[in-house]
Amino acid sequence: MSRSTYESLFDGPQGGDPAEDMVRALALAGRLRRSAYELATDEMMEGTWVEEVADESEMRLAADDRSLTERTYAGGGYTIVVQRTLEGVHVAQQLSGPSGATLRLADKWIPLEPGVSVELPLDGMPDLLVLMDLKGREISLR
Amino acid sequence: MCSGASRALLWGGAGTLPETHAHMKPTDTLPALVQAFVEDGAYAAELLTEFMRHVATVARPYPAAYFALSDKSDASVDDLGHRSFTVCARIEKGRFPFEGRAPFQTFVSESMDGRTIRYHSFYAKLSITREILRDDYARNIRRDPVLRWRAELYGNVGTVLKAHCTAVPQGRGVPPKWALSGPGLRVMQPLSVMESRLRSMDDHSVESLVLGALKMTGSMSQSQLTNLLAAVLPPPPSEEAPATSPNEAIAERMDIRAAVAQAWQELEPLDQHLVIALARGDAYEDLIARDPRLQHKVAVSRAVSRVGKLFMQRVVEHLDLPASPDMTPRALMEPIIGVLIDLHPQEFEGASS
Repeated sequence: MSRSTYESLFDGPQGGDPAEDMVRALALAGRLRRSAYELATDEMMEGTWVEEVADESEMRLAADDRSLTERTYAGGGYTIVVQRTLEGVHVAQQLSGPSGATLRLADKWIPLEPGVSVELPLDGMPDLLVLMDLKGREISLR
Repeated sequence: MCSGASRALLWGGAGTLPETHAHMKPTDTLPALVQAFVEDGAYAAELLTEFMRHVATVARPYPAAYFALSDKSDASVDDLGHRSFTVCARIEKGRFPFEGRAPFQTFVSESMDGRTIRYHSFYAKLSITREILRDDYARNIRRDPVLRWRAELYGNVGTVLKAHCTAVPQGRGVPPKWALSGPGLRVMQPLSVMESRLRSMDDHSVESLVLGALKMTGSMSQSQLTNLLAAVLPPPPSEEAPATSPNEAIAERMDIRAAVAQAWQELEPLDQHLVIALARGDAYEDLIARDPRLQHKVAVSRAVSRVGKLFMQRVVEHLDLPASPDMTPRALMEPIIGVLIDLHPQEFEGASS
């Protein structure tokens, strides 16, 4: 059985045949390299020193066929699609729901009209949109 | 003739959009900077400045062991930024999403937005910058006696886990956790309690400590167990790591590189497969998968003998070094593996650099 012969090489130099001790030293150095690399990789993949964890669901990956330039938000009978143009401008359009609603983005109020596109002051796709209907009710669309 | 990206940046300078888009909010300039650099070689300084800023942010929590020569300073963080930039600009990476392309080239080809570029370059757990930090850390582990002790402990913990425990997958890219094989409820103990109970055990072998720890918890990763055992076991005598190892200088000597290259050429294919497996720290199964002839004990013994004699003749005798307690066979083999990896990267693929 060659397994025991091979694995015994990793026990390190035995102080016997110098040529064989060279090979044992090679095995030990190789095993240390592997352990060091795997330890460092494990700590990296466990995120030991990662302070900010990016939201991967919003990451655009090469093989990802989800559209990152468009997102549809729905809630309370309203449906709004937000598109990001090639120039990086975000444009919203109300697809369904009663007219007279207003989007609230931070301190900005953007009136909506079904079927009409309006520009939104956004840097990226938000997780949710907050809309006020004609009665002043606040509705979250996700 | 410059590209659209360069023109866009030229109109208003980095950070400003062309006049036709002046009514819009300024957008992320990073994609345009990368595109201008890839297509025209333009805006390198601006792009590098952007890199340095993000690399400094990523590097902030890392301890000194993750930097070149275990020294964390303004200079070593700058060095990290430059190396990260160079890798993104010039080094083709095989893994997803680069798939044989340099990162900058990938960012442009895939029309990645600024956030995605920053993710792959800096902030992802497996980003270009963190890969460089990981490689520097792995190199420092081999040089620093205390870190080396931890790596050896990590390897021994892994041997026990593979022999006695069951891996519990944690999702793509995340190392598995390990649990004791077989049924049975276990009461999870706080880490401090586990530490003190392990300390009070009579048998402080790695096997007993690992199995003892897992009896007190659900599952743990190999590195978590290593940290736990490192806290329980007496640390190695501390000695200062040399600023530069004499072995690293050996690896740079042309005559040594030539001697290693010559020894490698003289090895038979079977011997080369043994050297590759040993240098990679491969398990026995990997060895015989590489060359089934090495299943035979006589074949392994003969290969060991041939490899040993050849390296003695061609390399060690070539060194012509005065006898020194530092120059043990083990200390000499580290730079020799480094030279082999440099000379034959494809054959030694998977061995850390």
